[in-house]
Amino acid sequence: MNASLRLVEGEGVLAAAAPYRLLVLGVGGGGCRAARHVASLLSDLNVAAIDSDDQALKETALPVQLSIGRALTRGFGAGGDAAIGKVAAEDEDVKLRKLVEGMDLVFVITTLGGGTGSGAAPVVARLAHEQGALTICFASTPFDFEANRDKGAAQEALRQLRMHSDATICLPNQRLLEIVPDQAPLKSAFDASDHMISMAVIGIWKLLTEVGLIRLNFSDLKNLVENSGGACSFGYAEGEGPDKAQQASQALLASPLLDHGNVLAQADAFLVNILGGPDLALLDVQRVMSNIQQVAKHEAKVFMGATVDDDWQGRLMVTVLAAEHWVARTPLAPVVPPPAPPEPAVAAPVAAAQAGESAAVLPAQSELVFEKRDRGRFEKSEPTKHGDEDLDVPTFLRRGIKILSDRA
Amino acid sequence: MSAPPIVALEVGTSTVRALVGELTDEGQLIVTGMGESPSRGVRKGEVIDFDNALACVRDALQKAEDNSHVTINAVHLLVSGGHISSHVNHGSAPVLGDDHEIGPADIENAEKMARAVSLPTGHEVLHSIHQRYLVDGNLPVVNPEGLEGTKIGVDMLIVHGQCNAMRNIVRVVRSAQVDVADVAFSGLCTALAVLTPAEKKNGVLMMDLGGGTTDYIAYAEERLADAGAFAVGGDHLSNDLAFGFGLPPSEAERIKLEFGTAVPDFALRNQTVTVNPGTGQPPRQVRLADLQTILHVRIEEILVLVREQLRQNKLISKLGSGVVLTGGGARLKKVEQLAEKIFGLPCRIGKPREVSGMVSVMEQPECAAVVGMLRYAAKSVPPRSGIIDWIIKIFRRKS
Repeated sequence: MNASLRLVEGEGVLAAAAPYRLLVLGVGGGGCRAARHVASLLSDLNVAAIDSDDQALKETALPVQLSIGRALTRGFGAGGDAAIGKVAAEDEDVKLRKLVEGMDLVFVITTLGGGTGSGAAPVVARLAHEQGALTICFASTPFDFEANRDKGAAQEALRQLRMHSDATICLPNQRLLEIVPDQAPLKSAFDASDHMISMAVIGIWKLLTEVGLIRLNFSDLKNLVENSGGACSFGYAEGEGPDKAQQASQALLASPLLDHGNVLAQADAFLVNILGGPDLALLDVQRVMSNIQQVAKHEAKVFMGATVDDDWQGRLMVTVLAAEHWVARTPLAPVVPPPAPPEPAVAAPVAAAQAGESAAVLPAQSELVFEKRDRGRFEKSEPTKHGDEDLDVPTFLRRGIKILSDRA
Repeated sequence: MSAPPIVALEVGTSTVRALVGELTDEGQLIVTGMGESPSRGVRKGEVIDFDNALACVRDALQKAEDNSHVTINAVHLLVSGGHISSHVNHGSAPVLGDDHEIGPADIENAEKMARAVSLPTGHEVLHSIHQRYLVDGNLPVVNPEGLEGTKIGVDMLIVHGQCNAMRNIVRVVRSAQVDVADVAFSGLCTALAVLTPAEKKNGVLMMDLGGGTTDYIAYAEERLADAGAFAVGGDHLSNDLAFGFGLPPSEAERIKLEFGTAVPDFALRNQTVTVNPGTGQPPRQVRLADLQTILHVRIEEILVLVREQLRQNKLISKLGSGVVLTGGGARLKKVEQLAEKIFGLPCRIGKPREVSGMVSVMEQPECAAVVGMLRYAAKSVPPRSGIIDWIIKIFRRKS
């Protein structure tokens, strides 16, 4: 009927490439753009684009395209409304399920703050997860200057993603501003964002597929993301020449993606992959690891791998996926927190309604639940409500901002 | 001797402050004494513990008396709290008399109509301030008296608040054996103290970042356009830190004052700060980046709250003179910078203007409200609105 069905017809193409069946899905305008970038860097990857804007979809020139929400938007996009994006994806439930059927690993790439990305990506992630694929989301949050992007909606979407995927890697675009020079053209900021997402996808893909000196496998990755409490950070750095190991590890620790090494210092578990050419020496690996371990916590769980790629002669890349929490997963943990009072509408009821029957079956991720704490200083005063928010609850808690310092 | 000394009293969330001042014959305001007491028993501008609040009021008044060598019999009381808000009400009246010349009685009739508003239950009018007059529905005029017309209209800004909350503060003061001469919204007084006539003319937003409340006043198109308060303030900043780092309130307050900034400083991100959790726990390190982030998101939220309020009333584009910040929160480093970014307008820190006497008072944004009250009380022998008379009468009768 249309391009979207091509995938289903030609299933054989998808299954061939690797021992793990991986599908990369770009959702929404930004997501598709990044997915295209990924496809251009790695040709043997199965990449599909999902958007509600037909024109944008066509421009991606990806072999597999799925237009969603036709009935709703007539192919003109969600217009920045996440609610439309969500319904658009739910309408295409059957096609989306078909798309992810039989996959071992699904990467959902999206940029949050718009309509389709924020609304549809959580639905896509949920469907992929329900179909049994290990689902990892790569979501970028908007730059501060993107006034047209709704940051509140972006945070909400991020929470939804974390709930419905095995792990969500959040890539705050704002951190990129430290990398992109002040005078750089605007486009380069967005290119950097696409590149960042692509590197994350490729880094993880390489680690699973390339010949490993020290092999990391799918179960290591699965182990890490499933126990990560849903939030992972990603960072990478490259080095070149005889000094490449030193260069790369220093660049990694200075990288704003990992908050200048702070993420590593605080992570409870992380996965390091070192990608090099045939000349990759044991010493290089040792150097990188010792540099990282100097920063990391002693008790942190480390998964480590080293892979060789002929293209990387004389060069080296370190990729790190850090889990901010390590929560040994209790199987079938209750999804809905025990009778939560009508607090700032925690996404749980929404999620339950949306996930329907699946909520009961899936060992869905634990969501950050507001501790019902004593109101401390404001105990005897009337709560300050604004809309449905209780302003007495610390802002950083309501926004889900993680505090890395130790508490007591 | 000029006019008798005036005493302004603010029962704030972090400080109870009494200021004694005199107005010279030349109209100059001289501050002759001040008493301050750290506040207990007040949260978000409202009394939650009568006895503690009373003790603090007594203490502050005592200090002010010692300081200024006057006996305080009556005070002009400032009130604030999240319950205070305002709206514009229109009233009109036909011009009486055959010559159609507008007289004082006609204006008064129209104003009376404008004051007749329906308020939320339990609310009473605190101030009614005329914004502009309209003769026969035409262009606004400044002073309609003597003009000809058949109908006179007036827009008034009605500032109102919850009766019970205001009455509680009056009760506390009365229990300290002091009369309450007048009650005024602290935001309004602060505006009187810090804004210049030019700013009011060009349009300006004044925000008093207090301990428990954030008061705001907006002037636009040469009139008082909006006034109100939100029950969030500096207390929330400290509380967020206390919660985020697991610290007692006093320690949270200390690190807020010492290391706080409204805009995180990337250069210092990796530094740590030693905190003392007390109760026998050893001192430990917290990340400066966390501290700054916690404060940044909270103060940003407060500023955005006010911005959204003004946006609703379509006032942002009319603030030619930008934003003026005052109150204790104005001491937070880089808060002007953040406000400039959020409002897209120039911003300055407001301190009490045109005061002589105690130098310390002039330099403190925290004192703006009490200074403004002195001016408010000295200038106007205000036509008291119903509530204030009523509150005061009730207590007179009892005592």
